[in-house]
Amino acid sequence: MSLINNAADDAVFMRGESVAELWVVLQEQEGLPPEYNQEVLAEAKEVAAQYPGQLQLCAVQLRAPLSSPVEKSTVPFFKAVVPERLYVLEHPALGRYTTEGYVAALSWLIRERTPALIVTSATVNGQDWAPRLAAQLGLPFVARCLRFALEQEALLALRALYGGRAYVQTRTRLGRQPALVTFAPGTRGTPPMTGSPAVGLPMPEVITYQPSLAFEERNPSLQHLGIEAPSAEEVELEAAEKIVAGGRGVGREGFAELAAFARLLGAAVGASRVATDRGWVEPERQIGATGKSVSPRLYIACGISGAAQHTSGIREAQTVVAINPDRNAPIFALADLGLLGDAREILRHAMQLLQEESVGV
Amino acid sequence: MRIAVCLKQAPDCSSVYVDPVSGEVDRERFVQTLNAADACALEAALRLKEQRGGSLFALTLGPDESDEVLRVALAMGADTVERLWHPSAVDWGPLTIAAALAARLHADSSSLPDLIFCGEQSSDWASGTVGPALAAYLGLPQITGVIGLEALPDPSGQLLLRVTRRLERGYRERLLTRPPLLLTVHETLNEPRYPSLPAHLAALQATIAVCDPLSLPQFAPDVEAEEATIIEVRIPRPRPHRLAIPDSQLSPFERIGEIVSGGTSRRQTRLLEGPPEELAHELVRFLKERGFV
Ligand SMILES: Cc1cc2nc3c(=O)[nH]c(=O)nc-3n(C[C@H](O)[C@H](O)[C@H](O)COP(=O)(O)OP(=O)(O)OC[C@H]3O[C@@H](n4cnc5c(N)ncnc54)[C@H](O)[C@@H]3O)c2cc1C
Repeated sequence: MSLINNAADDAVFMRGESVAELWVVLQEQEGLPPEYNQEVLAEAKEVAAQYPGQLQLCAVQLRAPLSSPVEKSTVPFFKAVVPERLYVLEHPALGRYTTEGYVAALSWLIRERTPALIVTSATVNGQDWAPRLAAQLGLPFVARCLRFALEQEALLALRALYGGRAYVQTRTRLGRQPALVTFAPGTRGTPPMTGSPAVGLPMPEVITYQPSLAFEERNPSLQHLGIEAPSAEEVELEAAEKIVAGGRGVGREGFAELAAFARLLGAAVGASRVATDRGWVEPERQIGATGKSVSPRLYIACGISGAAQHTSGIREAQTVVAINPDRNAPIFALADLGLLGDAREILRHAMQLLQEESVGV
Repeated sequence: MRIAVCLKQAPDCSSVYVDPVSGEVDRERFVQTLNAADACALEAALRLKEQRGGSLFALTLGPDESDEVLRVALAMGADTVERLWHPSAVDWGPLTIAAALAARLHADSSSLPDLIFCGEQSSDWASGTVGPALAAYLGLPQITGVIGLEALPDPSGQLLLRVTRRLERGYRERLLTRPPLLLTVHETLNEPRYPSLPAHLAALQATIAVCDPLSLPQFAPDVEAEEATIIEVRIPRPRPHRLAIPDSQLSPFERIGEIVSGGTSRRQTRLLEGPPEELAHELVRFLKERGFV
């Protein structure tokens, strides 16, 4: 049994209407990479393509009213995959994520439109509202799919078991009601861009709703205190766009400055094994053969000689800057920019320059 | 204060072996444990109980062997425990399981517990569904992915909780809340305690109450509607390991250089020398040019 299936003539989700809808619920949250939405769109588009003319790809966005017009804010975000339709659900309570808000808004829209399938990224918030919505409305629910496909009367899904030690393919029977799927984030990656988003791509049809929602289960004592960004020492290395890494040449005291510089740059702190072995930074910060493999856009190596065991972890780095007084250090062979000098001093001066600028502007 | 915690027995992932030929999971080899996130949920519940007084009820749904997790709960400090089971439950999915747990919690003559703790997800299926679904069936607010929990002193004497939820990429959400509430706990929340030997021995002697969920008045499973049938289990293909193979056109010296560098491609390096202020200028200019600041 394969997940790729040929189109069926009269699948159960057709419900006699001309076109059934496949929804992708977009998620917005500080720290959430836009790829998580885009990969779900790309995956859903492939599923919809199995039923040309029968299954329509729609995106759903929940937001507060009076946000910027969707043509400006949401549509340019559809880089590689543009849905045929975009439902925008506006309500004052949807300004930021709450379980009740999402469940109430989506329940309303589901009753309004009855899609065949609803997909969203299995982010922490996606895994917060989706199972609750499924339980509340009695919908079939499959969590954290790696792939999914529609059959005539069933939903096929590929899932990871036992922390990825096995994969399982499941079939979930579909009834008359929509099914709900969350898609494991990072499974597919960003779809390639086809040209500039502004030109050439079709526009989705935008339909805006402003329903009045009843929040039966609102918890009056649930008070939102705020969202905190991770510090430079906490950003996950694998996900970091920029990394400032230090080695023996930075020294124990130098790591405080290095972290301050990283924070200023919005980068994560990384390290060579010498630095982690000596306890200057957490072991999770080690990059290399026995540490993590990273793929940042920018990698700044400070006081790192560039041993093969270290550099094998930065193969995917796009731009590399190295700071080291030893002109024969192998790290320079991989660097786009090499600075011959003391890492701490250079970072200190660079930090000053960056701060002056941010104040000056 | 009454606290309930929902636990699950799950195989330790490192004991999972899938036969590469047949794709069969060798269940004989499973080392069954209390699911890691559930152990943290139990620990969090115990700490609150110790701080604020009250009772802790541990509930599981599972076959006979699942008594083990309830014995762990007793040894760690739970006051009462109960296991739900019916042979047909082997085929139940997370929504049905949540409905059974909800029916059991509703069946108590007194009202619902003030706080319910669940693990965020289990090590086997990792659906993360039971917690939110249980909250939905009980009509309780929920907070999922809890990585920080603190009881605050409150003048009214009521329990006030400061909760930290994890979000993507290290972002966190902070919330202030009061019971009644359901929390699902991430396995980094705390370090579950080891029970003392006497407590452990006492727990081994305890009789575990068992309840047939199908006998509960509020439970009518619609198993057909939800369930997924397993078509096939297989092991993941190993990820291809990229080997650095040096270019045979290069001289032996350069080839060794490539091997030594771990296969990282050589670049056109702009190497700069000078006083640190100047180099810092160059660095900032470079970062700006490339759009990093
Ligand atoms: C099996 C095995 C696995 C390993 N796995 C890893 C791994 O995963 N990751 C890893 O990183 N290493 C790993 N190593 C260790 C690796 O071989 C190197 O020893 C290590 O990467 C060197 O770290 P370093 O560059 O910080 O220190 P060094 O090699 O000692 O380099 C220090 C550098 O700092 C420079 N320096 C000195 N003063 C200054 C200053 N004031 N300012 C700036 N620069 C200065 C020096 O010129 C020198 O180039 C492994 C080793 C083995 C044997």
